[in-house]
Amino acid sequence: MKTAKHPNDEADLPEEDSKPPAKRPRRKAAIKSEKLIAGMAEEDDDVKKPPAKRPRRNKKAALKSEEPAEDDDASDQMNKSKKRSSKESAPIPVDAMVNVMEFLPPRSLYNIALTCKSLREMVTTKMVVQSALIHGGNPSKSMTELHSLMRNHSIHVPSPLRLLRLANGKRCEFCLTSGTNHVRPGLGVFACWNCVVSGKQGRWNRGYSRNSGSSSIKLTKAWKTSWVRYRKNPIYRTILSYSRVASNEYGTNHYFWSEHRCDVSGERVGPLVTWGDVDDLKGYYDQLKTAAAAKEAAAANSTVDSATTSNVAAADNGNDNEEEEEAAPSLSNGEWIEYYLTKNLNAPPKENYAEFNETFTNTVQMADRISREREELKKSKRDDKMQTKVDKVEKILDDLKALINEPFRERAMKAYGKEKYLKSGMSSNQCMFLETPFINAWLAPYIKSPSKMTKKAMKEMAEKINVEIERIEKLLEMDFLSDDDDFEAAAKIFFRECYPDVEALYTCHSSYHGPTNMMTEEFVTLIQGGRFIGALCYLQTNNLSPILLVTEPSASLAQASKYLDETSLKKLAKIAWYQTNREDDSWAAEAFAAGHKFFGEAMAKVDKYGAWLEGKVDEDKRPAFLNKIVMGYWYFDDFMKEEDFEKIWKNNARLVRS
Amino acid sequence: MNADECMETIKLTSRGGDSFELPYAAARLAHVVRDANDENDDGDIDSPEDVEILKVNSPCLEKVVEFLKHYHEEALTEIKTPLEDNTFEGNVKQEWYQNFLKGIDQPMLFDLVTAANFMAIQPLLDLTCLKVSCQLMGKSAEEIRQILNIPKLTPEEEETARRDHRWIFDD
Repeated sequence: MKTAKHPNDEADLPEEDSKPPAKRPRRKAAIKSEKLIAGMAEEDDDVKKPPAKRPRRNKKAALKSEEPAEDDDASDQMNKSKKRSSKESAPIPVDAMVNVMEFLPPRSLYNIALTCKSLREMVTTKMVVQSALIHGGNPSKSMTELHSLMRNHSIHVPSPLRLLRLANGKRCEFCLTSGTNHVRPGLGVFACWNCVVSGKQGRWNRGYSRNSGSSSIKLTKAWKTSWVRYRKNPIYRTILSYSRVASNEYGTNHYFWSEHRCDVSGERVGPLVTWGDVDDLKGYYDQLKTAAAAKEAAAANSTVDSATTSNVAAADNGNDNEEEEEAAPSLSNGEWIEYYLTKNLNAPPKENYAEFNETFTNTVQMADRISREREELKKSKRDDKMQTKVDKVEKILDDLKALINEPFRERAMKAYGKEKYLKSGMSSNQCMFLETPFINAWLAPYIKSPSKMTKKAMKEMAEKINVEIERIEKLLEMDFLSDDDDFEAAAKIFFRECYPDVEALYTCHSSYHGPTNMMTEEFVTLIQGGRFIGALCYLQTNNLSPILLVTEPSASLAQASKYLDETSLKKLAKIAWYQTNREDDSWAAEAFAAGHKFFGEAMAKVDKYGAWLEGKVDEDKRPAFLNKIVMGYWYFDDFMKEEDFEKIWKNNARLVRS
Repeated sequence: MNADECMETIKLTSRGGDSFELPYAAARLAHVVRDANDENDDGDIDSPEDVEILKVNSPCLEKVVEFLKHYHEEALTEIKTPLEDNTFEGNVKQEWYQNFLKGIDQPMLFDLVTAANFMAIQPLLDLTCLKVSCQLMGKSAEEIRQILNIPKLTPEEEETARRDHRWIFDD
């Protein structure tokens, strides 16, 4: 019999059979964290007591907290396993823990990192970038923003833990106000817009250290290209356009990181180059330039002197110069900036950016594909859900239709909007609308949540609809309108013409109610309250002026038509109709009487004014002028209030010209 | 002889001395078994021999053998990241594999992870790690500490962690 060794254990040591086999070589993260797990074990040894249980809030929460034993065991077995887990379970091997962590979204990864130092140090840049990109959302957006800076090597390289924090941020890391969702573009820090532009100091930003003594927390400072020093020194252009110099450009302003900052753990954050460094860079350039000029002059001198000095001395000078040339960075390209960044600003070497950039590049395409697949899956699930909802609603409507009395069964339960709903992709919307608005309003809760519809509710709904349809049919018979009363008789004729049957109600629309007809809940409420004239008026948007017009004495109309056209007459009738209140059904009769009175007065006044205009307005222009007064509500209102025609003329004379 | 077509059985012996018999073709999923039998890259072996797995105890090895036997009949579908669901059942659709880890307690699960890692059985490692991942998903640091059996932070450490990372939390 052979003893198992780990597959990657190359040495064959039979004498060590009793020892556990060596493990195979691990990935970088695993090797790094092997020591740490040992540390974790030590940490574990230090603490003899098992971890204290959290206080339980309720039964549900208690069950949730027992997640490790989430399986279908009996509760005593669950307790037993929990007991064992705290005493006997061995820690998961490092390799496996890395495997476990690779499945997790950034938030869970962060929570794991918070548990202990060992696990925290197991987190790698690769792990965080992959997790953030693959799981999408704001963490992914943060990584994308960081990548645009990291590929230019223009910010301090975030540690894996900081990266994890950036992926999981919920508030501005400087002022702790909520509303920040991802890393700020161009800065690589988790900052709110307020801190970036105005720098209002928050309550919680005391922990942030600044290298300079400034008390301002304002993160950026504008460097203007309109400044004279920029225009006179082309070297500023070189500095500002260098890839490792990060700034956000808006018009003539370049917003720079205002000062060097470290986060709460002392890690340097944000762009490498600050506002102040731009001038320092320029100073450094000038220094190098002066030195180079001096060197050139010295070289020229040494050529002249070479004839008079000894060969040995010349050789010595030459060697010194060569050494100096090696030390001084070149001024022709960005080499001097690079040199300054490394020596003076502690810029990390470019290799330090490689892990992030490589992981990002390798994962981003996969993340895009996963994101697309996820979107498609989500869409298909949503479409299925929406189709199921439509099917359920159709079944409800069919069942309900069977309970509705003829002959309105089909008409009352006719629905529309299914196709639009399925195309919309908004699953929470109402999937269908009934053409009868009041039935639609009653059924809306069931259309939105079909599962709410029970057999009892359906029966009750059908009865309710049947009763209402019966009432509407009775209304349209108009038996409540007397033939003896002038108004009621006229109204009866008018409404019978307008609404000969229920079908006619479906063609009755108003601009106020949009595309639906007027059989709304308000209409039904008026009928239920016995306000039949009110209900009929409602169908006409409370405008019964056409009745007023047809019942006006013909002599008066004939007289009026001397000046006013049909449109103006209708308008006048409408104005007349709205001269009274609308408290109850009696208002209609009152309005009818008041309207007649007003109509008569208005006609007489128009006629009188028409005669007064003789000599002022040509006869052929006079009707158009008077029609304009009637059609313009404000003009007509003034016209009726004012008794003095001279004043009316003064106010309205310009209508003749226009 | 090609290992895939090998009809012979072998015995895997646990730390406790219990032996579990299974076809070599199933057992070779574990890299330790292949290596112990000097299987070459082409999958050729002379004659399979029994293997002692000294790092794995009997109950755990029994489960591992159960897994190996079934995997030989019905392979585990690849587990893709990001996970489709927060539950184990939502990610592993095959009923047998769902039931395989149903009802096992936490120490056994961790032992299985350790065994899968030691014996280099990648599908079992993926399956068990997924189970652990699903247990950890959406849990707070404190809950994770309980699951992984990590000592609790002292109130001072807790306070420091909260203060240092305040901008991470909603509250």
